Amino acid sequence: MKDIKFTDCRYSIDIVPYMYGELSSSDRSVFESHLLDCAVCTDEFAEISNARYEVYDWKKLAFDPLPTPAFEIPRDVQHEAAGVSWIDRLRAAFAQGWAIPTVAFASIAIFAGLTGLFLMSSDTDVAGVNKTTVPAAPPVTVDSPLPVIEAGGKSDTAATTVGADDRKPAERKAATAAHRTEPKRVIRTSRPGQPRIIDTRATRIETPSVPRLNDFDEDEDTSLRLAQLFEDIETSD
Amino acid sequence: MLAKHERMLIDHNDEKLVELAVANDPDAFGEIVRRWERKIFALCFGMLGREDEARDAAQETFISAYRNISNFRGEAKVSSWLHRIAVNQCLTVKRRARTRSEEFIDDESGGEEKVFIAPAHRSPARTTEQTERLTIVRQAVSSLPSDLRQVIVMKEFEEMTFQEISDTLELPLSTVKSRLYTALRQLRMKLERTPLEIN
Repeated sequence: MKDIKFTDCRYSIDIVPYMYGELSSSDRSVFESHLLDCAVCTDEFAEISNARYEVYDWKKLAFDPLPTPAFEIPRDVQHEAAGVSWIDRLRAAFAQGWAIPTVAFASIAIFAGLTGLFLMSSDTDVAGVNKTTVPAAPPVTVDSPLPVIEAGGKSDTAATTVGADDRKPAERKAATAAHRTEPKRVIRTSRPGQPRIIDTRATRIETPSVPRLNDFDEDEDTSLRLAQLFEDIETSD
Repeated sequence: MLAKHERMLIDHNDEKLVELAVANDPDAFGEIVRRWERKIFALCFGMLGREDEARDAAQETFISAYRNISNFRGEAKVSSWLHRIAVNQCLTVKRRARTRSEEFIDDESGGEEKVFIAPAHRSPARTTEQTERLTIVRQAVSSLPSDLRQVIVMKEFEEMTFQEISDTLELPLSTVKSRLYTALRQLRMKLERTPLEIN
């Protein structure tokens, strides 16, 4: 790097660093020895020192006695500058002191709880009125099986005939379980002999399966079913 | 109010004052001290970096100059002569500090310490002079180009090292030193154009 000559003397470059005490010990000794022999550097050093001291004195008299003002950055400015989210601000509020944030948070929690309770109680009343779903049909016990008679009057005599079931009990059970999910109810119609089975479940759109006497378990009281069957037939005449 | 004789001394140059001092004019050397005390003090401060040491060194400078005034041949300027004496005094102080031994300077005057107090050294006018000088210095610093002014402020007010200034301004170290030197030179010229002392 090219040395800058401030005066005709090459040592003049060390005047300022020497004046501020930033020369190495070896360079300092060299420069001090040079000062004793070089009037140019000595005079230049004196002039530079004089100017420097005026600034030093100005600072000492005009600036140093001044009290240091207390600067405070508003908190919202700090958060905005730091990109702090509302969650972090909430944490910071709790970190600084527990009293006011705790009270505020508790108040908010209580209010939210009361509001929630109010809403829940309102929902319960409304639910009973506004419920649009069709309540599930009361289950029909398998102990009182009902014959399935197709709509239109056709009677499936085979369905009503109690015949022997040659299947094993386990098989009959499995087949019966498939038909037990659909509770059915017989509604006696004005047409004698033509009872209709109506599926009371509104969601069901498929044709109800026709339970057969053979579908029921062997251990079920078939006698009762037969009795009821005959009763129905007799009353329908 | 200055005495008539003192007013006459003000009009003399430094070399004339030395002649009068050699001729045992007691006020002549006092006028020399008044003219150069601040600059010699500043030089000592620049050498030593401490006000108390600088004050002592400046005192010793004028004492030494008074003792050896008869040896002044006029080959150099009075200011240069005083500067060299001051540099010697400061180096002496530094050597003493390095060896960590304090030696009392023999008082060859036989106990009569002559303190060359310039006329009106402690007068009330000094306060006014000081206030005006501060204003002049502030204006001079403010009138510097911004790149030079900031280096002075960082060095004197913030007391940053050259390396710190270099890192902050992202300038080479030599550039920082050069700028500060240039700033002080320009400041010196501005202050010389504006008299800092009230006569």
